[in-house]
Amino acid sequence: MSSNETDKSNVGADLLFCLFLFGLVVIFLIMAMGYKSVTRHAPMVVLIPLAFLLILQIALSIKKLKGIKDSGGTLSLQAKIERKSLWRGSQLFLGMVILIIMIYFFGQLFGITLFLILFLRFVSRERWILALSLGVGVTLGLHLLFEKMLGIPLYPGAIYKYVSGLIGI
Amino acid sequence: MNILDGLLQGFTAAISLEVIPYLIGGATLGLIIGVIPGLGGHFAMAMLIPFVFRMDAATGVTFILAAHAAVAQGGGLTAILFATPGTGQNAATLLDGPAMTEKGEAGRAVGAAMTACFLGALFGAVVLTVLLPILRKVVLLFGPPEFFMLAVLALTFIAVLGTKGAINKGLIGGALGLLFSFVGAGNVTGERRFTFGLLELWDGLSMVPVLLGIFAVSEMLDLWIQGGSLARKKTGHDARSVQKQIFSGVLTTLQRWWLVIRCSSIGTTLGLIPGLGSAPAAFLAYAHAKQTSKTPEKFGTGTIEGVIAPESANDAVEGGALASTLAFGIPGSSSMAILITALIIMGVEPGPELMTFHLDLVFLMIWTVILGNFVGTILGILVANPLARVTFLRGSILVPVLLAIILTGSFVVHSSWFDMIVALLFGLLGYVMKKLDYSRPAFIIGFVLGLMVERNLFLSLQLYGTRFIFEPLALTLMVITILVLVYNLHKLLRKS
Repeated sequence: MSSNETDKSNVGADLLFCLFLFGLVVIFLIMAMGYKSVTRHAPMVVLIPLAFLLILQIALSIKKLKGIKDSGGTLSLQAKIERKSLWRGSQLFLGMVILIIMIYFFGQLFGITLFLILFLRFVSRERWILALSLGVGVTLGLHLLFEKMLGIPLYPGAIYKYVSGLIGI
Repeated sequence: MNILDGLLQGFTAAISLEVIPYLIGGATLGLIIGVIPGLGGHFAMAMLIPFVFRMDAATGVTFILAAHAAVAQGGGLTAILFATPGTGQNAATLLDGPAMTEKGEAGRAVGAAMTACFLGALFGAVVLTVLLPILRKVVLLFGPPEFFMLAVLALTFIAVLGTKGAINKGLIGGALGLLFSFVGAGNVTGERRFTFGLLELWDGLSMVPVLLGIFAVSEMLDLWIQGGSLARKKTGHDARSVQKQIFSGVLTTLQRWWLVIRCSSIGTTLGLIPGLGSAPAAFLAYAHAKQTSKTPEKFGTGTIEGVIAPESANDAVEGGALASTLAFGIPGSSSMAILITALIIMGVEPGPELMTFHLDLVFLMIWTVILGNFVGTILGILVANPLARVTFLRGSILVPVLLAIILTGSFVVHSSWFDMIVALLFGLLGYVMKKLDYSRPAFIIGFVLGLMVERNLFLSLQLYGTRFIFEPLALTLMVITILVLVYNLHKLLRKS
């Protein structure tokens, strides 16, 4: 893989990121216009230079991208690598979303145990024994640390709340 | 309270039965996290933040600071044994540490690194103690205009010095952090800003999930995407011989005390400058040791001075960094920004108030830096080999386990679902920033400083109008800021 290809991919991603940030800054600027003058003072002090910095970064990225394009770089190998990274990244991101949903329904203790066992076994492809022992061990550790030692109650879960309300615990 | 009283009180508090378990626990956790490549001091501190909010200030600060103190020792161990720096600050140790391992002197290098770390931290703490009376007087000269300009200066330093030539990206990082800190009720008027109609944003973005997202979730994403085990290189060092040689390394370091003092003073001085961090200090100390050595040709081939110099400098940095953080409430690095967050969570405001009303806490922190490093050194020496095996943990096991802990941590502070989603989204932002070289430390420092910047800007405008920038000290700080920016831009333009 040539550095040219890496550069091109990074510059493209950089350009997209800056455009996203610039869009966000424009939205914030429009919102700030509607606030009282004292409230918008500090945000404006930050937003205006930030908008200029982003415009500068966008211009630099476009210039760099043009330069690389003119030198005739290809994206094939890099695109493959990026696709693999993107797949692994999305896999973990999805895992985190599922973890949050599991905690919501099953509570922190049971949700985390279940998530760890399933994730370690089917995504990380670890042995059942390791997945089970880590799932139970980590949850036990969290329970001891937060609930017993620090006295912080963990979330019991929507199902528990519903059932306990139903049977009147 | 005078310095001697403070020192005594701080020591008594640090070794009290309520505090010492947290000191040992924190240092042990820091050592383990330090050993794992890629997870630095800021990761250790961010991970521990959710645990401290129910603790009192003394135990909480001890826990978090002890972990931070021991991280560099763990990192040094990995750098020497596996040629992979556990943290960025140990990169300079790679120049001679692995070469010593290849020569069969791994244990000697580990012993030297651990001792140099402790002595460096001790030096930094002593300097901080000596500086305290001066800092207490200096801080009284600062009013709202000066604090505002100091915050701008610190952010500029971090943005300019902390990024690899990409000043623009550093400044964007800092400005983004400031911008996100303005979400929620306005600090002056209470008017809601940038909430997009979400009730959960009325109180603003909570610091803990943002910190965990930017530093912890993003690191997990990176580890997962990279795959494989954490240590990329396996060396054939003999476990028994490592343990045997360690004391020879300790002794050699004590014999090279003058080198330790010189390199530690480089570290402490650079620690006072926001944004420079430990890595440049370690490289500078290495260069100094090489320049002043009678046998400079041996550097890079596995000489013990090449390990002692960077390791003593990178721990001495903490003394300097703590000085500006505690006295002015301006963090010099991402780790110090996390420390400020922890202090605020526990109801202590850094800056003049801390220096005036909580001096006992300041001395406790000084002792924590010393004792945390001491515990780290002892543990590192005793369990160097088992500890080093942590690096062979596969990312596929470590990532889901740590993620479960991180998301639980972001939930427990306010028992809020929204905070878990915030951690997730900022994790994504942190990952993109890391990959595209945008400064995450500048982002987090901007985020932590937002409240202070807005409050002092408002007060300055109320007191002096727009003429506040012409106050002598504020003007001096502004001129320094402009000079730093112009100089670095000029350097960059000349280079390109």
